[in-house]
Amino acid sequence: MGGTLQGTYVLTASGRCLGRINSGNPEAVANMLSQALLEWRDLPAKEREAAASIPAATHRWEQSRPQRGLILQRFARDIGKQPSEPPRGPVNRDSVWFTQREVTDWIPDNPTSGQKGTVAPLVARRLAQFALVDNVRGQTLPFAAAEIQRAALYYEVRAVNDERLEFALRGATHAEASGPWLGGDNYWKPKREWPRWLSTSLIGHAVFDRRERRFTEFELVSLGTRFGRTQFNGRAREEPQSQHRIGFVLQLAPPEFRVAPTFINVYDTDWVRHPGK
Amino acid sequence: MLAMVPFLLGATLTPQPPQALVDAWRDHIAPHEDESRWQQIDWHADLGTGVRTAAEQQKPVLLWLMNGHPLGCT
Repeated sequence: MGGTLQGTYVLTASGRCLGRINSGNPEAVANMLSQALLEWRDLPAKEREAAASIPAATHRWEQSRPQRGLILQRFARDIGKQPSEPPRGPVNRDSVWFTQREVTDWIPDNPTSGQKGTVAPLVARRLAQFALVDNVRGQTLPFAAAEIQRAALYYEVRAVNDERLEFALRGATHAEASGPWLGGDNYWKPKREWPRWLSTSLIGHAVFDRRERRFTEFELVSLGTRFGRTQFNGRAREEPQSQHRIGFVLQLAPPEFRVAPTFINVYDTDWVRHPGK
Repeated sequence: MLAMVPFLLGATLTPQPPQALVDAWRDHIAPHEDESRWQQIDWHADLGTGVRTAAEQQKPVLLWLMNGHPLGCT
């Protein structure tokens, strides 16, 4: 088996390869699956039952998923001028994690309707560094803390009672990488500079359960403009100096979506468990 | 609707746009039904669970391998 090992495989549980293809062509993949299934049906029952011994992983990033924290899923898509236009594909999914403390210590103790304030700066900064990035079409790089020129998220209390608080949220971000890599010596460190910026405005709402001290609703819609590219984010064919519109949606993730944020390994926190630690 | 777009793209916070416009952008950006079919499969997130389940149910394993981050979309 030469070349890349990337692709779609069909295996027996014991590890025998019944089919393999590295293709984005649905018909070609479906054909491989059909052939592999025919081979599977011809296997003796003993081979179907055998299972390889897979040792349990000692470290998985989802082990750091905060209990009772704010777990957001983030969607990113190239956009046009109006939402009535046909959506452009693809859409990509990522996640953003916050601990309960990170997303609650800014909440006023005695809120009143109409009260305005600032969401903890950490929240907007993490969004700007790691979530509001151009990985619509492929893997990209995070922004370093020093590259965040603006990251602000404001709230206004819309309604309050003993049980819940309703917030309107507004904000803006601007992240810009224009020189050497500032993100430290880690997995993401590129071999060359990738000048780029991404600027967004955010609007949304949240509902906070005052007894449970957790959000039961949280949604941000973000429209922005991006410039530049990175090595693997699928923008190599764009005009080098061109700017493009990009949209994001952040909302509460369903419980089954446990995949860790792309840039979890460079979160500036003490609650992320790293391999070997 | 067009008149509200500058708010969302502007650097400063201006008056609240209609909620209908915000909702329209949300629905535009978030995955549509034909982009979410892969979620109809009850994927396992780790190989060990997938292999054990396959053996128990006497089914083959469908495995997807790639370089880079799984959320990188490459």
